[in-house]
Amino acid sequence: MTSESGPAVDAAAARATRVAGLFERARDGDRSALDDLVRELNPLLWHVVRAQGLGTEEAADVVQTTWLQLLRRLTEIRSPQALTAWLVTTAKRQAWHTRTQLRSRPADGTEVMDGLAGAEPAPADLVEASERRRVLWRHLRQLPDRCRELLRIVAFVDRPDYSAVAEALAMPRGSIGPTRGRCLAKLRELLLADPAWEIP
Amino acid sequence: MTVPPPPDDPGPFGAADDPLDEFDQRVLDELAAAFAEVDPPPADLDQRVGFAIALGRDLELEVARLSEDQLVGSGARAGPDRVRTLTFDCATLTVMVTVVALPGDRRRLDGWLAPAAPLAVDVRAGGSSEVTHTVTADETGRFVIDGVPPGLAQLTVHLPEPGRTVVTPAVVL
Repeated sequence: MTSESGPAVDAAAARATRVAGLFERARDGDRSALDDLVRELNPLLWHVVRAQGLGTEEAADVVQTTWLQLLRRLTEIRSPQALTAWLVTTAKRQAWHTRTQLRSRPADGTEVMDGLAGAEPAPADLVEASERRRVLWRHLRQLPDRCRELLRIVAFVDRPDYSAVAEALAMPRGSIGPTRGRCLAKLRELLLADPAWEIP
Repeated sequence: MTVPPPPDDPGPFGAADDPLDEFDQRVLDELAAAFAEVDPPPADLDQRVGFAIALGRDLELEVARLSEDQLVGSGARAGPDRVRTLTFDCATLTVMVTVVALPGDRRRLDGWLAPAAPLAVDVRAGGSSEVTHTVTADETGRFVIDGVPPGLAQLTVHLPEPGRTVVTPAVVL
C-alpha cells in the first residue's frame, strides 16, 4: 500500500474541515451556513436516496423532508460526523418508507421505480463516456448490489465521516457483511487487473 | 428518531477496513464523478431545500411527507381545468390539497385536514420567505386559499398546542 497522503486525500480533508466549520456556525443559528451545508451535503443525500430505488421526484422530496426534520434536531447533534450519520440514516429510512408506500400501490407506483440499483447507466448510455469511465462501470457492475449501494454512498462521504456513516448504515465494524474496505478492495482488484484502467 | 451515538473510536476508519490510500481515494473520487454524471441531483434541489427550511429551526415542528401527487381530470395538459391533488401525511395529521389552475396564472388550493379540526393554515407561496396567505379551516377541516401565485409553496398547519406545527415539504405549484 502506498502513502496515505496526496492531492486527492488533501482535497478531501480540506472539504471535511470546511463542512465542520459550516456545521458549527449552522448549529449556532447562522442561516447562510445552513444553506451552505445543504449545498455541501445534498449530493450525498441524493445518492443515498436514489440508491434505494426512488424516482427523481420522490427522491427530491425525501431529501427535503430529511433537512426539515433536522431543523428540530440540529442543536442536539454533537459533531459533523454525527450530523452526516444522522442525515444519512434519516434519508435512508424515509426512502424505505416512501418505497414501501409506493409498492403498496402498484396501480400508479410502478413508473416511479428505477430499480434497486437506482439510476445506474445502461451500456448504451455510455457511448459518450471516456474509456476509463466505461471500465469503472463495467467492474462496478460485477459487485453485489449491497456493495454497489455502499460504495455509491461512501464515494460522497467525507473521509472523517466514514466510521459514523458505516455505523449508521448498520454495517458495524468487524461484521461479515459488505464493508467499505471489502467492497473497495474488490473493485480495486478488478481495476488493477484490467490493462484498460490506467492511473493518470 | 434518535441521533446515532458517536463511534467508540473517533478515528476515520472502521476496524474491518484498511486505511484508504491515494489509490482508494482516487477510485472513490472517480466513482463520485461517475454517479454525479449519470444521476445528478435536480438543478433546483438546493433551492427547494433552502426554501423549505427558511421557516426556521426552533419550531416544535412535525414534518408531513408528500405521500401522493397526482394529476386528475384532464390529465397533464395545462389549462383552466387542470387539477392536481397532493396528500401530505404525518402521525398527527393528513393534509389533502387540490390545486386548481385559474386564469391569470393563479391557483386555488382546496384543502382538507384529517382528523377534521378548525386549525389555522399558513402558506408561503411564490417562493416567498414570508407567509403569503393565512386561513382557518372550518369544523369539517376544509379550507380554501385563493389567488396563489405559481412557484415554490409550503403549508404550515398550527396545532391546538401552542407552538406546535405540522409543515409540508416545498412543492412547485
